[in-house]
Amino acid sequence: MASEKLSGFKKGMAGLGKRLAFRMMKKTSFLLIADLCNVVIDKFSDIYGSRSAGIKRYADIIREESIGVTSDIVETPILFGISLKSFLSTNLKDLTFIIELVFYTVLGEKWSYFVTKPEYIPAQLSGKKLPQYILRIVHCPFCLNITKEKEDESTLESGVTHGTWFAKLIEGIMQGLMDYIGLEYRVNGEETQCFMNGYDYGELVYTLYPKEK
Amino acid sequence: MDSRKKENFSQDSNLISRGDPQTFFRMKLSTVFLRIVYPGVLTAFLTKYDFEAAKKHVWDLGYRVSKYVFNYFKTKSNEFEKIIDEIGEKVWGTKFKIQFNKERSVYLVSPKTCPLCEDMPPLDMKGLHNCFPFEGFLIGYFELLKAHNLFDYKEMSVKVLQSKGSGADKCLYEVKIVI
Repeated sequence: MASEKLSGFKKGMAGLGKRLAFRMMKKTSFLLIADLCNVVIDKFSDIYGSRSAGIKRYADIIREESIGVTSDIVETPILFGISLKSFLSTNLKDLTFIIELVFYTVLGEKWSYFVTKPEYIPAQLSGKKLPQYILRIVHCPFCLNITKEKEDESTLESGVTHGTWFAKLIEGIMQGLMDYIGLEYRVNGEETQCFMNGYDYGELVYTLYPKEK
Repeated sequence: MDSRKKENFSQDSNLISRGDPQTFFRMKLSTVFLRIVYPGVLTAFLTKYDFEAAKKHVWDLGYRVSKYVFNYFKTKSNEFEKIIDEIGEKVWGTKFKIQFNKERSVYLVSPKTCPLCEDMPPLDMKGLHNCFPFEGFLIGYFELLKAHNLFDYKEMSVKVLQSKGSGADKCLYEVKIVI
């Protein structure tokens, strides 16, 4: 069962565990996998009739897969038989620490070249009066070589960006964590800013909606 | 107008600030990530198409990826075995064991670990392997080496003989090249 709040000791243990976990995992080039994702979008765009349809189809698949994989990852031992579930808590603020832990475990110490640690916005401070998380993409392997000739952003449907599928990947991870912890929230994530739309960094916003009974 | 899109913006003007390809190329990603982004794609192809057409799409994933990779990574050697070594180490993130079978005049290539098979759910489907895109990748990459006068050959074929993802003890590829 998840604790109510992560202690400093547990955070320290997790800090050690993430380094060992990344060292032990089998790895490949990040850009190779980013390219694979872009190729899938290229192919899905052909198959489903438009760039927007291709991105949305891939996003749907990714969200479902990431929910399932997250619960597996949570139970995988990372430090002397201790798994990630020992570092979960029901405190929404702690989720920023857990997401950072996931990024480190998957990408190693260079993860911050890609994204920032998520920022937690409590319900009382958010515009929607619901808990939110904001994640910034400071450099993006998914769009660094996507020119306008390849994908013209002005032709995408409203609400669809090149990174929509990645936003849904993180949404799936967060939903998987919420479900595992037993928090009754439905996570909705969207990419509100994208390099390809003229911004200096990408921005993903996640909102927690109470689940309908 | 979608509020997410800036007006009067030239889409390609910030390509450089999106990140350094070499930095991302050198960054290592756990193959666990592939469990999220890859198996569902295989299922989508197999659901939408008949088996042979789905196989072609999976093969084509690797073929098309090679075109992306060639933009930022070109092998330095001009010897076939060393090129395979470089691809294994720099791109695939593993070491390849390469043996030449004199009887059949083919190379047998086996990765120490396979990013498309490790950590993946098993794929129990005769004739299709998780690492099937590797066939397309090698064909596509060598075509580009030839087109850029970096390595010349007359013919080439690649076949995944077995894979860990389908229950074998190791992945094994047969590469035939006529120089």
